[in-house]
Amino acid sequence: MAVDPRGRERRQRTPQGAKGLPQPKAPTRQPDAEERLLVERLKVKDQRAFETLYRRYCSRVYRHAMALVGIAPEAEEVVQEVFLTLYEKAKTFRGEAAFSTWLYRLTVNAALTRLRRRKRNREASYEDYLPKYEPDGHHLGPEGSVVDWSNDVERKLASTELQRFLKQALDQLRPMDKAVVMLSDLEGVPNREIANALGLTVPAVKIRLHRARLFLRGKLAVTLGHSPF
Amino acid sequence: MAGRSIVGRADSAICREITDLLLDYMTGELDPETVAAFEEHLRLCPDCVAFLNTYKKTVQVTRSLRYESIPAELERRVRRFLRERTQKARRGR
Repeated sequence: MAVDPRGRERRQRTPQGAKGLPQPKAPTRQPDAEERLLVERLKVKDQRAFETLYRRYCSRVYRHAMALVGIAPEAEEVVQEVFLTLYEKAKTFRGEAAFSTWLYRLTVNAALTRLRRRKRNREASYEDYLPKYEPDGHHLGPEGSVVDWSNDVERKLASTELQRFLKQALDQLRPMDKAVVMLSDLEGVPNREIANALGLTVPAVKIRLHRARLFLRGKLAVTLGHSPF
Repeated sequence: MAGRSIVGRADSAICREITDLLLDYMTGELDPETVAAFEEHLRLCPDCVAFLNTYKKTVQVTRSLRYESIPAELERRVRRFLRERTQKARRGR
């Protein structure tokens, strides 16, 4: 979802990915002149600029917060914290990264603090759901042992059931992996920008994203009645 | 993300190496020679085709996940909270 100069969200077209997968909605990449001006005014504590930025971004921040912490009261706390930090630390924003990247960073930091406070028993063991191989590196089992269930998902799971399953599976990811999946697959943020927002290298982002996807694939396979491998 | 190149050895490339290349394959980040070797391996290995299809499907359904927008009442409540806090901060300066 992008945001027009009046702060309203608008849908963008979804171009096709390199190998035929539709890309997720892409957030605004080029900050408009008005946004730069709003940030400059925020640096001198202009209340109107602050409220305009709040109206413009609160829904996006809340959505990210819900994706990360999964609980509405905690997501509300994250939104409060992000915008208070924005107000207090605006002077430290040097404009080297996009304003939206800075917001991702603030949101993820606030959410991760809360996730790390929780007991870790919600995180599943990845190993149980990652692919397994024979000693020679080929898929485990005789040829044909990997089942192609890609056409069964919508047939076997109702839309609401699938959404519920995916949210539960995402909640079992490690907090930083969840943040990477949320920014990459749910928001369509490029890997370089994710790396910048999360303080990771681009290869580290790709490794986390790939492992998380493999885990989610294994979970989905099991839900559909197949081996995760 | 992968280590050793699979170029020139599609028949001996192993499934583990193909799995390691899935992300870069899907985002079009592999060089043409590696794509050719990758796709040649797929021609020979039904397990890797099934794995690629299910990996793609997983990404597709994850992208379909939707989280609700901020409820109007919550948006107003947070706005009031922020207004009070920032006004207090300005008065305290």
